Amino acid sequence: MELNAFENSLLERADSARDRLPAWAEQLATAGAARFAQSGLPHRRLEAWKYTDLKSRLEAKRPEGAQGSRAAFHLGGALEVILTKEGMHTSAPLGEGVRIFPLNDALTKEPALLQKHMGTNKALQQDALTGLNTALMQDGFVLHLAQGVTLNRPIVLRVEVGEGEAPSFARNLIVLEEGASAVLIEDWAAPQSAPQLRHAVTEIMLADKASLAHVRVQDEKLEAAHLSLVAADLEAGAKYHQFALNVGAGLTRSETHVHLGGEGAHAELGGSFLLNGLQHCDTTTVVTHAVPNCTCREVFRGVMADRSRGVFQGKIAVAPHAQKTDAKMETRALLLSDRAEMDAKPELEIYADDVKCAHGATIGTLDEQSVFYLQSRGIPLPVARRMLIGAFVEDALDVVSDVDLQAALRAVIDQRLSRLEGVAG
Amino acid sequence: MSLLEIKDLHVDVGGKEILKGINLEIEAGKIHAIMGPNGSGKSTLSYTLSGREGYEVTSGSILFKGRDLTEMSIDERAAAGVFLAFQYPIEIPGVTNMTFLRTAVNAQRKARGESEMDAASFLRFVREKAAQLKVSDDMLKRPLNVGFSGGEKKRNEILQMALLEPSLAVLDETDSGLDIDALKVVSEGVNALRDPERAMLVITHYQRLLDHIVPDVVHVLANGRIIKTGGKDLALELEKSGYEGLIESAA
Amino acid sequence: MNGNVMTTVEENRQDVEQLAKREYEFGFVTDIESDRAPKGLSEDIVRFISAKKNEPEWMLEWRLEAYRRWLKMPKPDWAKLNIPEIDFQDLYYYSAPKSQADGPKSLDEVDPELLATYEKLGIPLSEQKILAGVVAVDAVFDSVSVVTTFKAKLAEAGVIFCPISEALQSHPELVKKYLGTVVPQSDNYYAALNSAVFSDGSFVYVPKGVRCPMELSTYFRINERNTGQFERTLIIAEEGAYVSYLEGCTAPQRDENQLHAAVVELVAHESAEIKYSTVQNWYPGNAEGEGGIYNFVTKRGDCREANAKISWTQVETGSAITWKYPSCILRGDNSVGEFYSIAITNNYQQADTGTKMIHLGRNTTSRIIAKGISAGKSQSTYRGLVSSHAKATGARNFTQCDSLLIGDQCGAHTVPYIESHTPSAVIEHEATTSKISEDQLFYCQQRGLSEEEAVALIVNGFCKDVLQQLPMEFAVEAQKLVGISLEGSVG
Repeated sequence: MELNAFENSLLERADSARDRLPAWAEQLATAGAARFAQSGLPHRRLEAWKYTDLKSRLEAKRPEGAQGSRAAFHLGGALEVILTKEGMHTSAPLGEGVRIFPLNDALTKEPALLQKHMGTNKALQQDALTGLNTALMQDGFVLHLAQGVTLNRPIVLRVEVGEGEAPSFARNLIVLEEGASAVLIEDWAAPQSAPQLRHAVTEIMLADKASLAHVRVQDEKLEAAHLSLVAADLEAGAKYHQFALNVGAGLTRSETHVHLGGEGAHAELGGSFLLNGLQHCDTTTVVTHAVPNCTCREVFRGVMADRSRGVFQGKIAVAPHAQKTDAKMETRALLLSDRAEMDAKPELEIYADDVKCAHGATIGTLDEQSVFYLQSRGIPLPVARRMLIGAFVEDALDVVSDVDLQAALRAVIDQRLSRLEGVAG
Repeated sequence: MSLLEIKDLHVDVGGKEILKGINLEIEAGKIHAIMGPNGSGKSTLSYTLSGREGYEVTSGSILFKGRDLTEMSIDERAAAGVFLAFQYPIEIPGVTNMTFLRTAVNAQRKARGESEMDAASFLRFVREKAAQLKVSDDMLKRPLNVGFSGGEKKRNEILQMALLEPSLAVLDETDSGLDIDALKVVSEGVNALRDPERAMLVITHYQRLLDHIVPDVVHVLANGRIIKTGGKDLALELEKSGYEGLIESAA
Repeated sequence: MNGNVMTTVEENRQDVEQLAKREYEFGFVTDIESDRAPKGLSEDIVRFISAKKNEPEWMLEWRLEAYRRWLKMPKPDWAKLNIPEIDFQDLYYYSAPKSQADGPKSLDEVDPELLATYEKLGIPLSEQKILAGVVAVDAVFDSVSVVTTFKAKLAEAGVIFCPISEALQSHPELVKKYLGTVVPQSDNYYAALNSAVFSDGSFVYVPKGVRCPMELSTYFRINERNTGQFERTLIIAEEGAYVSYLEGCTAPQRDENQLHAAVVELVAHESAEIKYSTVQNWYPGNAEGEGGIYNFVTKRGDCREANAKISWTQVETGSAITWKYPSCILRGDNSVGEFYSIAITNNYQQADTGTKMIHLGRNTTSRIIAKGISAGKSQSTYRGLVSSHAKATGARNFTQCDSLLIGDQCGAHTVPYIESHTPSAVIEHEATTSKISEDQLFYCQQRGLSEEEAVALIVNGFCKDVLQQLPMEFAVEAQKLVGISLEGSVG
């Protein structure tokens, strides 16, 4: 594979960055760089990137502009953790059994924890971009909850460590030991000097009966490309809820892999993408039912205005003998403009017979009759449209069970909707 | 010779013994009722008689018309004349009730070496029986049991019984989910099928069904054994005193 | 009332009994001397085929261009199929039963052995039988069309129904005008191969305003060993015309795999309607997965003008490997595309099949109902594309994909692609997966059905929405096949 100048520059950076790593991590990094060198950036001839030609899109210039919603995410009562170049700042002390580190500290201080988990997720092992991330990982955090520990309030995490406009590679690790439980919000609202390309890999390990509610709010500036890959491994009885709200960045890839590896594990994925201008947002999920009696639910809602393009690829895979699997996936998208586009590929791959699997996908626009009905009751057109679009997006928020958190997310969604072309009227 | 002879029947389900030595003889023309509390093994007995997989006869015997029932497959038993009216009739999407009825009737006729019925004479045959049970044409055209109310499902079970003309009908909790009016229609249907050649085994938790379908013999099943047998008055007695006292005195 | 359904289940049982140890019913070989081209593929073979058919020069050039493009094309590898390497030089590309070299003029001239073969296949080939069935048949045996019945009656209505080789002689301008306009020579690897070496197939032309007075039918059969079959079918319905076309396929039982790569092109002009039904029962290979047909087919219909309608119905039970996506290009405003499919795989069969609905015109609608049944160690994939382009305002699609799994060794997969550029389009897709429940089987058996009858009944119920799209004669055969294909899949 012939690499282009950008790809080569990334590899060069990886070469020079490697010696800062401890020996065990350097090994991983070398293997990762080699994997990237083999295939380079993903492109549309790879089935998983069919609708998002990353290689050519990263070369193309993205329009300048502020971030999508310009409404900062705010959750009262949360514990705030901010990672900066200088270190980590927490708004209040962490409780007993809760540990959080900047990645760079963890690399030296917690080698055992990192070695045990980093790069073990199968979904990551073949991925070239993750290889590059491993070679260049610098930003990011490590969160560990000891057995049985329940975080009594949500953590909101902000990473503000990019080196100017250079590509940033964040690597996060979240480990919840048996029975532990947490609510974690990653807030990726870009500060002024944010990187042009951000690639964040988050590895999540949930031991038996552990439970994580995970929210990602992405509101980067429009010149930026935000690529994220979350890989969660669930053991028996573990629960993982994820809600991804993508409103910013010119180019977004929001990819999640969930491996249901212990009986009784349950995953719930939801998300909204609200796009404008030339934004391109790709949501890709793969949920693998590796053992019997696991369940998953997915609900996604997309709103595309102007010339934006939404992509949803969702795959539910049921391994042989993963009987009694119960999996449902639902995607709906609204196109608000003649030039907007939505591509969906909801996929089932099933190798066991005693399973209940279903998916549904619809693409359309606002129901004119509903708009008319509201208008006939005296509601002005723009308000009517806003109401209906808001209600449409609302379904996906059900994944979030905390009412305050729901309200905080709804505030960002409302702000964003009011700035979409053709919503406010 | 009795139509059905069950001797010291032991049945395991999922490795656990549910029936622990049942003895039961039913003669043609008689109606026997089996009453018992939940978990006593009533449904296990009906499934064992019809040969459902997972109901393992570990010892004892079941003779039906002198033949060893346990050696026969489910459909062979059906063709020999064993009919089970299900407590929860099964839905089969896409297969119309009519198609199902005719397939079943002809499968059994063929197994017995009789000629199959053509579409026209079958239709006349069904319509006549259906009218008696208030089964509408619409119900015949709809997919089997799909979207049927509880009463419709049970009437449909009795219609199948009327069409298949079994020599032993096992009615498993036929009254469950029925209101009084539906119960009346179903019971009348069953009573119309009383015949000197036909025996019935009515399985029920409550006495009220037996007001409508009056049994000749009543058995009380508890913990996998028949602990008491009597006439129809036994049911009334149970209604008054409940199962508990009886179970305690039997223990 | 579903009289036919009932009959069929009855017939099913008879079949099951007769064929208790049955392998593949149609696996007999007809002993006829055949006229074959030498093995292998080259420009010379393409010239040989074209010369055999006495084709016009432009047709030869067209074939050669396809051949040259084929040489440079990659094989498609995106399907969820495990396709063994095929040695294209180890195949015969032309095989005609020798006694047919001059072409029969009437049924009396047809080799009685061939007629006997069709009798065995149950095709109503003799005129008397056809009169009862009101079906006109074009039978393609290996590579050439053997006989087309009912020509006179069709000619009266102005309908042309003949082998495409004959159409190239009698109506070259029509063939030239339409051939390759729906499936271009270089559309894909197998279509290019077909374009280079196709030896026969059916040609149908229904003139303006004519409702074809009978169902048209073609039976395809592969007989020769090591012979690829590459038929090409072209159907044109002029303004306001209507035609229903049925296609049946069988092949003898052989240890080695045989290649079948067909192309079907449909053109529907304004307000025309074409209904195309297939019952595909090529030899699927034995229970160990040896032998069987590789079925790589390109079928596409073009709703070229307003209010046109094209409807595909397929029952795919045969072939070791099926790669097939009958599609509709909805170009004309208000045009309608339909795809109804049943795909049954058992033992080691693999099927990757589905459709493409390309919405280009305004207010175009499409409907997809796909039922996949997997049993044994087989793999079945629905793959489909629904796209609506910027000008397709008011487009509408509804897709329902249901999979039924029988046993825990098989796989069922759904891969739909949905692409919308049209805010006023509404595209809806639903998919479910289920199994035959033990309760359903027990219930049927308690009423006296054997396990296999119960499976056949339940699966026929599962497929009902598709089966009822088939013309009556085919529906009966298809229902039988559903049961037979799943023999030995339970218990």
